[in-house]
Amino acid sequence: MAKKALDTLTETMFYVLMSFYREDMCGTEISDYVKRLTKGRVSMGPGTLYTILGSFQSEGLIEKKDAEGRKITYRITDKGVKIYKSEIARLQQCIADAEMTEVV
Amino acid sequence: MKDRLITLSPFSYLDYEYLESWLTDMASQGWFIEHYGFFRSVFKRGEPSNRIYRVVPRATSSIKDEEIAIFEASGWKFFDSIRSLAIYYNEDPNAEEFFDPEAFKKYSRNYLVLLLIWIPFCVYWIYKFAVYAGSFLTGFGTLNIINDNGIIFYLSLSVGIIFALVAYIRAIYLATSQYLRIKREIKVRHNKQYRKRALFNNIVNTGLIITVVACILSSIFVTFNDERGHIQLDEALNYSESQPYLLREFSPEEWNYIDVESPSFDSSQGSDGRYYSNGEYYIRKNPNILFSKSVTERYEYSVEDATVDEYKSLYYVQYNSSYYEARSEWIAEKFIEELPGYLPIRDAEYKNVSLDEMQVPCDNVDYAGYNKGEGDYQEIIIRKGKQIIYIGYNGKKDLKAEINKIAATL
Repeated sequence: MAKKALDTLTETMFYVLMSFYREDMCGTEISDYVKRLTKGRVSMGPGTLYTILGSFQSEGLIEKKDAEGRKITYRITDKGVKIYKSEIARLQQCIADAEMTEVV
Repeated sequence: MKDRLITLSPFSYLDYEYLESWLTDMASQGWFIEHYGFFRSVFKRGEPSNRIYRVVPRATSSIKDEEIAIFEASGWKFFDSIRSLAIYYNEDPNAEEFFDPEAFKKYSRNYLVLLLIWIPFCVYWIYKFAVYAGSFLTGFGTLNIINDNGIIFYLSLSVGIIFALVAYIRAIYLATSQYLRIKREIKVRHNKQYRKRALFNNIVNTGLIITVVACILSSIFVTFNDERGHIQLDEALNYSESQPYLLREFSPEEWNYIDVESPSFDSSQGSDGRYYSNGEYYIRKNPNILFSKSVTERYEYSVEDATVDEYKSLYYVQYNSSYYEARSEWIAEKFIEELPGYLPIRDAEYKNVSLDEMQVPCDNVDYAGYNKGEGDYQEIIIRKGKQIIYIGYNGKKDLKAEINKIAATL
């Protein structure tokens, strides 16, 4: 069930994975980063973020790299990169389909 | 001025929306939560502030440092976690809200499943209790049960069951409605009006606590009282309080036998291995809310042939005498009405013998009854005003011949 849920990422999940694709990060930095990147359009609460980190970890999309006190730094795994890229391809396909529909 | 405020914890694990409103309201009055427990909460006095609290349902009960750090990075400080609820606070009343729908759904579902799992056990337990209580009341009668176990125990047990049922049914209702609501519209509700719910919960919780304590205390009292009232052989032999008709008067031969044989009375085997004897003698005093005096004298003695495979009874005698002084005549009257269902040495087949069927003529008493069962079994019940004598006897003597003599002692 959980695997199926990650086949298509939610917008928040996509941005979290994007953050890790860009660079290794700790959970506490992600929320700020996504907010800056999307100019406040995408905002995620701490509870949501923590749940996403937990499910990404259990599905092997990210892994622990470092721990300093309460802060844990994660890095994206090969599987995470693959899912991230396939999600981009899916989104691009969506946009292409939408543009085709407009032309028709 | 008090520095600490200790109150009952009015909200259950399903009332987290109310809990956070309560904590926020208390902070606005200058009371800041210091400890939140299942029954008791402690607040510390401070300056009234706009601090807001958020109680977060979570999917699991363990909370990790990283989670706390992520919340703190968003401006929410961690206070404490209770089971799967985490309590955070923020000094900024306009702080950005957060909401994790997945954790919310999981929490509600887990709670509902947990409650539903208990339903078969609860139904079974209630059924067993009803059957047990029903058979007790119809078989033995209310007054006889109270005489043995105490009215406080039964009252507190019954009231406690009612409170527990109310709490359980309400929890099922809350969990179901919450789960359905979350499925319908996923959003959390802040600033709830909590006072009525807090009052209701406090009444139920207080009722539960009081009845549980009353049950425990009355059980201890019943046990303690029973032990204290139980006078074993050596002391019982010298018992001389005003029990109108003791074994020593009814059957001096058997009384002398106990007295003589007392050192080996409990159980013994003859030196040649042929006989096995087993005896019991005690006096039990159990005054209570119904009876200012309630004394039972019990004697049982058997001799069996130990040389055969199934011990063959060679001699058997039982004498069971109870004397009561009721606190009112009504109690005495009602008590003997229930007595035929409760008589300790009766077989089931005798339980249908009514007081009317047993009644025999006897001067100067309100009631006298005699019953002869199969074999050597006999019994009498005599009531005069508030006084009652019951004797059940299994032996060779004629108990009926003693009725007038026994009645005269009242």
